[in-house]
Parts: sequence; structure tokens; C-alpha cells
Amino acid sequence: MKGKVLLPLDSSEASIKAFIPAKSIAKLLDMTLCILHISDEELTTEELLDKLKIKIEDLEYFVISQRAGSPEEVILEESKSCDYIVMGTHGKTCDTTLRMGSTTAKVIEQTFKPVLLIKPDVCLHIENGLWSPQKTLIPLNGTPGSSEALAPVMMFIAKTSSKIDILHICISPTEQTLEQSKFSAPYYEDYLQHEWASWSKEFIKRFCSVNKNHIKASISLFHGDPAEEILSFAKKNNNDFIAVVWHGTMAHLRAKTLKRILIECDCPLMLIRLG
Amino acid sequence: MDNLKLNIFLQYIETLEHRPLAEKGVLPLREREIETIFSMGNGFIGTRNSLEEPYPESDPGSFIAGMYVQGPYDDFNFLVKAPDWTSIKIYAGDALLNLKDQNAIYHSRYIDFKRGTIVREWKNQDQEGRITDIKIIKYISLAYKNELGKLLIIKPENYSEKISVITGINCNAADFRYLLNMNCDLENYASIHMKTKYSGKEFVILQKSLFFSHCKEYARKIDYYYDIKNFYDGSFETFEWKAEPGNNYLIKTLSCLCTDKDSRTPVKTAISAYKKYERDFFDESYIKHGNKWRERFKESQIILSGNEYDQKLIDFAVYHLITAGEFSGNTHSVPARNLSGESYKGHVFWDTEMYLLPFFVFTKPEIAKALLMYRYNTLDGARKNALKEGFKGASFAWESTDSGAEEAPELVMLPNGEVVHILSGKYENHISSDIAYAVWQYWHATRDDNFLINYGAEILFETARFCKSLVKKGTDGLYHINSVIGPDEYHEIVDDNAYTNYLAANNFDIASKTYYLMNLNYPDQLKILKEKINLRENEPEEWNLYKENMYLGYDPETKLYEQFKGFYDLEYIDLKEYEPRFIPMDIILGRAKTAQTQVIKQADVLMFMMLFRERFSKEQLSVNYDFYENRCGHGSSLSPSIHSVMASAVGKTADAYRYFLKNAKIDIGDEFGNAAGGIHIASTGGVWMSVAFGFAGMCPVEKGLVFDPQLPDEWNSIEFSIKWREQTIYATLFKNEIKFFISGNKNIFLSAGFYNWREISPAVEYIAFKNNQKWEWKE
Repeated sequence: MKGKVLLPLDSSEASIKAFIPAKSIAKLLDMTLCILHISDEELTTEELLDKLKIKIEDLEYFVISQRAGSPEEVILEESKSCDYIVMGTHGKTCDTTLRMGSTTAKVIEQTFKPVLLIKPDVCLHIENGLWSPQKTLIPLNGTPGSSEALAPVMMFIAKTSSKIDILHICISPTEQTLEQSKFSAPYYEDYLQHEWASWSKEFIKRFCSVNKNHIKASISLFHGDPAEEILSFAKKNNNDFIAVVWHGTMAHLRAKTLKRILIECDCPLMLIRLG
Repeated sequence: MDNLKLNIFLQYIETLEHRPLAEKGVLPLREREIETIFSMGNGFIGTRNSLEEPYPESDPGSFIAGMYVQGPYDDFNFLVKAPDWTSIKIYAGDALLNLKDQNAIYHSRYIDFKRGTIVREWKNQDQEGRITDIKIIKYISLAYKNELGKLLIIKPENYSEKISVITGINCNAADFRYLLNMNCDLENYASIHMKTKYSGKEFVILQKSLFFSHCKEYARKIDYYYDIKNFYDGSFETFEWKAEPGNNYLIKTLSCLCTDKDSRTPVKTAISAYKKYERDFFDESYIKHGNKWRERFKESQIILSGNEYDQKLIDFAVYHLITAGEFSGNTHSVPARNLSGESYKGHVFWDTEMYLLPFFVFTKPEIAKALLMYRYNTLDGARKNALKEGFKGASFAWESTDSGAEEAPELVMLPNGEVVHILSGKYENHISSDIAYAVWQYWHATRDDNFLINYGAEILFETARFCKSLVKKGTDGLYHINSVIGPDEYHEIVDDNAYTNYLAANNFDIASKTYYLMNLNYPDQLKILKEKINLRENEPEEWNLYKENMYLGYDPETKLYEQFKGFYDLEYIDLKEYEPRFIPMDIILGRAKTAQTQVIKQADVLMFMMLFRERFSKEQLSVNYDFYENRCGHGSSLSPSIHSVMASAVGKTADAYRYFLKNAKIDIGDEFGNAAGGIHIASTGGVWMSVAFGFAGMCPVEKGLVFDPQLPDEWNSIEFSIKWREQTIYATLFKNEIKFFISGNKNIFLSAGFYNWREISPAVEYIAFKNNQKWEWKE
């Protein structure tokens, strides 16, 4: 069965920003694009496409549906049969003083599907009408769980010409997990001329499960505040796509790194929630 | 391998006696570490213990000592990865048995310490429900350096079906960027003939297998298909037969690896290796290896009572030490990660002399001598290194390969993109005095005059000359060495590093002692050597003068040695504030900031205090231990073992035990991920040192051997044997009692505690006991 990419829209300009990235993922991964319009008004397909400013000739395998009701509930229900969700961070209200709109916030906290978030002011690298990231930034904490969670990102990246920058920010003691096979920077670095080459090779093999030869992954290592390091790295290296694994709660004092990245980064951001 | 069906989990230490160190199940992410931990070797060949059938997670391969290569664009010489001779694929019907999409009912790998082999036990259920029992035993022979064995036992449990086995030499594991396949097509053997690009070295691997069927209780002959196929990516033997449930089928394989150093015709030499066996070549080779292993393990073993887990940690270390050393030496030495992985590129560091050599000096002096002969054989390279840097004598390479030329890279890019200049090759000069120390330690323990006068003396004289050219006379009238790096590499290019100066002073001392000893007892050999290296008459006197007047940074009031000039002025950092810590301090603080603090990477002052323990009072040891232990970030895996020995020396056995565990678990703990690149062989030597020099309190001095045991609470006794001046000492040490027994033909002096000497005769048991904290001998 063909996989599905869910694109929930509310006909706002902010939400329609997600169309090209959604179409690109569907095309590259040979999936069906499921455009979901959530609104109380009833429109024909033509009227709807017209309203969403989508040309039918731009679509390959697609399904368009319209549903009324609570947007987050509809999206969550529809997403059950999908592989990816691609949506704008903001919708009709488009209050960009907030990190994201309330619907998006609820969706990302409740779904276990990978969510590609597109901000209203996003910069997209377009090639042949498709979004094609050039330099993907993946922060990895050196645990098998988070690297496994990244499989959907890797699947997509493997279909693009994007290079991967893996950024490992050394785990501070308070964040240590008991997960087996995890590792951080080596505790010992006997002779750094050899240690780092060897460490990087093993880190990439263990946590960047890309078995495609054409993918060029390089690793960088930093120590400090994760959000600060991720943002400054992305800026310095012109990363145009960031994928982040997170724990699925935006509660007070949680997801501090993600909250800051959401505010400050201007490229598409894929969130993958740890199971 | 995420869909691997596992009903098992990783568990390192199993309680079954015959499986002292085992890994149950398969954990794909750690696979490359497991390959290292259970790697095999004999000092000539080393092989990673990969799963025999292919997986993307595996990183199989072998390393042949001395098989160095350097391409036109490489900064340095390195050990090239050779093919994997352990490859086996088993098919039930047409299905390749594997752990990826089939059900591993049971899977385990372990080191068999009784036989010196690596064993894999695997009960597999494939998609058709066929259950197959598989056992694979592998070894690299300790009896003959060229022989490699693998035994496959297959038992179909519930099916009658064709089984095929493809067993051979997998060249995909080899580094084809640097190897040429010479296509050796032999009629009766699976065979590989390869040549290194750029360096033109050759090696040959032949393989020959025998098939046996054991039908329930008796062996019988059955028909089977057999062929040999050569491909670009390897050479393989195929066996195919109709298998019956409950029967055992055995494929016994002996491989033989020869290089052009063994003979000019390595193929012929390899074939002749099989011809020496009359009947079942595998069985005979396996038995010979097993016998040799038992002998070597017995003479190297340390037996504890009171802690089974620690016993396994020690056995693990001894396993790797034996397999690293057996055929090492002379033309090659033990690299930092042994022959078990690609990390450190097969380069030889000071690790070999300072961490491994003590084990060999005191358990198998012949190997210690061979390792020192490697340094003798690279003296010319060392002389060139000295000349290149504007010094005299011989400067041994910080990173050495086959010629002795310096192979340390000058630049490296760190993972954060920072380009760092590597200064060790140029400034970490203490390695020459370390090698001189090792020469003397060997002679001191063996009294092997033949080695000293014919080889050791030249090393000692040339390294003393090098030290002399490093030294400058200061306005204080003392001799100083400026601009060096000591073992603490967090502080680069420092003046008067205490370790460097102390070892240089010792180098002068032992060089002049050797000169006078030869002058007295071997004047003819001295004359020849003097002519060979143009040694002037007054040089030994100068060495004495330098030794007497070396600046050592010692303050008699505080009893502290200053690690280097200006160390006390640096910022003190309370390391406890960073605990629990999981990354090196120089990552936390940054390299530049770390250099401005008193945080040190590893034992430096404490290192030389350990080497010359008998020269220091307990108070001196304690003062320096308390000062420097508190400032050590242990950024090197070489650090914990020395701290363990020193903690024992100052009576802090709880600290010593903590450091012992920290060191012993460097490779087998699932913490750092860097065991994947090869075994930290120096740490295994460190395990032996922390037991022998630390907990057993063994200290060699001129008169004899001192034992001052400081057993941790967790242990009841330590039992081991030591070679000392051609005698074998069997020592059993309890907290308050020591038993000695020597075999040999001479009386020697042993001391219970510092110092309480007794002349010990062979074949009599002697007992010393502790009475009110003082050791006494029982009459």
C-alpha cells in the first residue's frame, strides 16, 4: 500500500506554505498526498483547489478531503493512517508572536507521526518545483532511541542531495539516560589525532543509520546549551532543514531546546517524537 | 537489524564457570565493540571476532603485524586492513541462516579461557520453522604463528534437507585502496595472495577444510559435494550434503597466513605448514594451540579469591595480553589498539614499554626482550629523528611503525572543525627515556647480560646522548629541559616537566652504569660498541654529572614535585564540582582554558613515583598523591591504572580498587563507544600492574623483590607467579600473610614489606605474616 503524507490546511496563507514541502515528500517517497481541508463550509474540489491556490496539474497522487470540526481532532484522526504530517506552524490567526498556533501545538504533542513544521516566513530551497534541502542538521544525543526515531527523516534525506551535519552536544550529567548502547563524547581521548577520527566513525555508524553511499554525513561535537549550539551551528553552516527528536511535551520547563529553535530558526523543522 | 527477533539481551558476565566472559544475544549497535572485545590474535595476526555471516553492522577484518603502507597523499604510514578468514555462510535449503530476519532462539559468544578459543553458540529457527544448532570455535594459534583455525558444528534439529556451507576468506573486509589481489588460484586450497600498494609487501592466506558426519553416536562417511571458488572478493570452499535431523556435521578448517617476511615464496611456505601434519591437520593444530595456550595462561594467570567478577576482569586482560605478545617483537611491536582494530593506525606508542612490558618482563621475559629488540631494530630511525630535529643520539618516535621514523601527524581536525597542531611527535621527548627505563627494567629482572651488552647498551647510550642534547645549564647551575610535553598533554611545551627530567636523569644514570659494567666485565664488546657509535671516553662522566645536577622541581619542605615550572601559578579547578562527569575536562573547559589551569590529563609526577617507588618515603608518596590525584581529570585511558597502583602504595585501597575497576572496564563497559576501533591494550597491561605492583605491592629493587600487599576489602587473596632472575616465584598474598615458593636453582632475596629481607631457597615454602602492622617471617 502506498504511504501517505497528510497536509492539513485551513485555507490561510500561512498554512498553504506547507503545500510544496508536503508535495515534495510525497513525490520523493512515492506516497499519496492527502490534502485535508478543515472548514465548516462545503466546497467542490475545484472550488477548494481554487481557494487553496493549488493547481491540479501540480498534483500527482493525491486525495482531497474536507472535514468540519475541531481541527486538531480531525488532523489527529486522519493522521492515524498517514506516514508524515506536514503543516504550518500557524494558521488563520497567524499570531507570529507565538511559537505556533494552538492547533499545531496540540497536534505535535499528541501524534507519534513525524511532523514537518513550516513557519510562515520560511525559506525554502526549490528545485524543479520541489523543496530540496541542501544541508540538513540533525542534533543527536548519542542514544539508540533517538537515532531509531530518525528513520523517517533519513528515508526522506536519502532521496535528496542534501548533506547531513550531525551535531552531537555532549550530554550533561543530569540528562544521562540508562539506555543501552548510548554513548557521548569519549571519556578518554588518549591521543586526539586518532581518538576523534575513530569516535566520529563509530558515532555515525551507530546513530546515523544511513546505508546509502551517496549520503555525506559529517559529525560535529559541542558542549554547552543545546539550543544555543544548534542555532549558531545552523546559522554558521547555512543549514536549511533541521530534524529534532523530542519527548512530546511542551509543558512548563520541558522541551526548552525545541521551544527556542521553534522561535529562532527560519527553515523547515521536522519533529519526531520518541515512542 | 532493528527487526531482529531477540528473546535475549546483552549480559556480559555470566556465572557459568566455563564461560567466564560472555555476550548473550546480539545488540547490533554494539556489534563493532563486541568484535573488538572478543578479538583473537597471537602478536603476528589479529582478527576481529565478527559474526561469520555478513551484516551491515559488522566491521570484520584482520591485521598482520608489520603490514604497513603509505599512499602518496597520506600523512603517515599505517597498518592496512587484511581480509577476514572467518567468513562462513550456512544455508538450510536455500535460506541463509542469519540473525536479521530469523529467530535466534539462543545466541551467545564467549572466550573459552581453558582452550584459548572464541566460541559462538547459536540455535536458529528460520522462516520455514527449521531449527539448526550451530557452534563455531575459532582460534589464532599460539603454537605456530601462521595458523588460524575454525571449527563449525551444525546439527539440524527437526528437518531433513540439503545444507550448504560456504566457508572462506572474505576480501571485502580488506582495504582495497591499499591492496592488490594477486589472484592466486591453487587447486587444493581456497587461497588469497595480496600485495600492498606503494610498499610492495606480500601475504598469502590458504584455507583447507575437512568434512565429517557424526551420526548420533558414531562417525560415518556420507556423500557430499565440494568445490573451491575464487572470486575477486574472496576465495571460498563449498560443502553441500543432505542433512538428517539429530546428526552433527563438522567442518574443520585450518588456514595459514604467510608473508614475504616469512620466506620469499610465501605460497610454498603456507602449503608446507599443512604438510607437517600427518593426519587431521585441524585436530593437530587445535591441540597444539590448546596446549600452548594452557601453558601460557598458567604462567600468566592471577588467581583471586573472594570476587568472581574481578577474576573475570583480570582473565579478560590476561587473555588479551597473551594474545598480543606471543609472536610480537623484533620487527614489529604491539600497537596502541593491538591488532584488533583500525584506530590508532597500528602505531606503536610508549604504551608498549610502560604499560605492557612489565607484564612480559615478569611473566615471559623472552617476549619482553623481543619487544625491546623492536626498539633496537628501529634505532636507525630514531637516530634520524634526532638529527632531523637538531639533536644528537636517538629520539624514538612518539608514533612508530616499521622504520622507527616519526609517524605522528602534525595537524588534525577536531569534530568541532577546529584544526589543531599535534605537537607530541616533536615535543613528547620522554618516550626515549621511557624505552631506556624499559631496557633497564628488563635487565634488572632478568640479568640478561647478553641482551644488555649487545643491544640494550646501544639504546641506553644513544638515548642518553639525546637527553644530553635536550638539556641546558641554567643560571642556578642545574640542568634543565625546556619546551617539552610530559605525559600530561593538557599542558604543552612546558619547561622542566618533572617526569621528563626525572626519566632523563635515570637515563643518564643507567647509561653510565652500563658503561662501567661493560668496562669491567665485557671490555671487548664495549670497545666494539664505542667504535660503532663513536662514543667518547668522557661521555659517561658527563652523564653522571648531568644526572647529579638535573633540576627535578622538588621542594624538601612541602615534599612536592612541581609538575613543571609555573604549575603552581595556574588556576586551581575543583574537579568535584564537575562530577558526575562523562566527558573529558578539556571538552568542558576548552583546550586553551584547560592549559591555564591545574587540571592534568593523567599521572605525570605520580607516574615517575610509581616507576621508582623504592626511592620515595611513604610521606613523599602520600603528599604527591593527595596533591595530584585531586587535580587529575583522567582524560587518558592510561591514567586510572597508575592511580590504582599509587593509591595502593599510599594505603588508600578503596581508591585503588575504584581505579582498578575504572581501568579494567574501559573496553567491556558500554560507556564510551570507542572500543569499536580496537582494544585498549595498555589498559589490560594496567590491570596486571594494578594487581601486581598495586594490591600485591610488588616492587623490584636491586637486592630482590619486595611484596607489600594492600588487598582491597573485596578480595581475600591474590595468587600469581613471577619470573625473577631465572627463578619462578609463586606468591600467595593474603591481607596478613604471604606464602612464597620458588622453583629454580638459585637462592634469591624476597622482602615482606619495606624492608624485611629473607634469602629464599628453591622448593621450600616460606611464610611471612603481619604482626602489629609489621611483617615478620615464620621460622
